[in-house]
This record gives sequence, structure tokens and C-alpha cells, in this order.
Amino acid sequence: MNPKILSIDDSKTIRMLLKRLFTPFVCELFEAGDGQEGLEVVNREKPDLIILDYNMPVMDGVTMLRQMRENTEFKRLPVIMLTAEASPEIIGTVARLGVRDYVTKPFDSDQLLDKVIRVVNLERRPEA
Amino acid sequence: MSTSTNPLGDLSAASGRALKEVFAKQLKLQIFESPVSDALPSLEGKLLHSAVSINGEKISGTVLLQVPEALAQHVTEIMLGSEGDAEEIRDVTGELCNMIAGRVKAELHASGFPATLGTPTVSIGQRIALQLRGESQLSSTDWSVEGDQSGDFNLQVQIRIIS
Repeated sequence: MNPKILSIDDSKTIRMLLKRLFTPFVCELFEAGDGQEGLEVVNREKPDLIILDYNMPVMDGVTMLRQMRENTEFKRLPVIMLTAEASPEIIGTVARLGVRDYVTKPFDSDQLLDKVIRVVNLERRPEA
Repeated sequence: MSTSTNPLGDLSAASGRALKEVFAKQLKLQIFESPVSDALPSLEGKLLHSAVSINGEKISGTVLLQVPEALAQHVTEIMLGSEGDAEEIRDVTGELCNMIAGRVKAELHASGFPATLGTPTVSIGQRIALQLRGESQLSSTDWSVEGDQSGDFNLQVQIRIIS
């Protein structure tokens, strides 16, 4: 089965950037614009990896993560934070919530891809 | 460039480091500070303004990025790999300001002023200037992108200490 990746970010720019990053790979990419919408997509699609922003309207990334971890089905669902927020308190909080990795914006796309590949098996799409 | 006295550290240097890091890492663009002249800087025409608030128990402030439309289009093309529509150009400008504000916030945190960021707001208009209010610091610097003819852009950071 193709890996499912969920991008949760209120910035359309970041969601488009990730779409561009993952297009060459065999995977399904889902998007959500805030934590609340993200929870709905998690329940519906059961992704293999979430790339999560912190500072979002409606529901921030930490609140979303806490609520998601309350469901035993998603206790170990891998999450990589991708955020402009770099305070030690937030990093500590998400670490306790089982986040795999933490990438601060601005970010290098190749470095993010390396971190993703450590979590899910990404194969390049065959050349058309 | 203008900077007042410095209870928060060198705000101008911090904002310059933040801006350079964002342009170099996210856009692979080198930028340099435009020379200070007696005349008003040549930031004319329609500009995209993106603002992000920084608020904490001890500080309150704003990061304001003002970019000519042509430069905003250029950076959108770099970020998204294609010519963006008007909404995408606004969103890219907002996201750049968000990244810059995040770096500035990290430096303020390291100086003992923890805070949180607001979400970016983007508008279009003529050049505007943030004002010094109460015990605040203001840094305003014009910058150019190496090899780009779109014109200067401007970054302002205003931080007020809450007494």
C-alpha cells in the first residue's frame, strides 16, 4: 500500500511546497488547514505520517496532537513538526507527545525529505 | 536604518539575521542592506504588506515586511515552482513574514522575553511606517535581492516592553 502523508498547516504555501516535494514519490498526500480539520482527516484516512505546524487558527498543533494521542489507535502515529515556533517549551511539550522530529521554518526541503524517508518508505514514481 | 536604545538587545541585528536566514535557506537568495540615504528610500508603487504580531508577558510588537509586487511574484515562483495567482502570492508573502517573525521571536526568547506569534495578515498599499510607542524599540531597514531588479523591500520590527 502506498504511504499516506498528511500535511497540516494553515499556510497554503507550505502545503503546496510539500505537494511539490512529494510529487516525484509514490505516496498519497492529504492536506488540512488547521488542527480540527487535521483530526477529521486522521480519523478518516489513518495516515502513516503527519507533518504538523504549531501556530494555526481554530486549533493549534499541540492541541491537535494531545487530542489525537487520546485515541489509542493513533498513540504511535509518527509526527514531524514543521513550524516557525522554536521555543524550548514547545519543543519539550511535543517531544513528550511522541513527536519523531522537529523542523523549524525556514527549512531545507532535502533535509525534510531525509527525515520523512526515515519514517515512511518512499519510492520514486517511474518515469513517464 | 534606525534603532533606539536597547533593553532587548540589538533588534536591528536580530531582524537582519532572521531575514538573511529566511532568504538564504528557503529561497536560495542572497540579500544585502540598501545604502542609507538622506532621501526617502526608493520603495514606491504597490507593495504587499505582511504583518505578524509578537506577544508575551513582557513584550508586545509587530514584524512588518513590505515587498514590491514584482519581487513577491519572483519569490512565489521560487517557492512554488510556478507562477502563482494573486492569492498564492499573498500567502507566500505572509509565510515569509511568519518565518522571519519566528526567527526574531527565537532571539527575543533567548534574551529572556518569551512570546507567541500571531497568524500573518497581508494587505496591499503604499509604504507604511510603524511608530515608536512608549518604551519600544523600532528597527527599519531596506534590503535588496542580489541580481534582482524588482526594487528594494523593507523590514520593520517594533517591540514594546510592557511595564
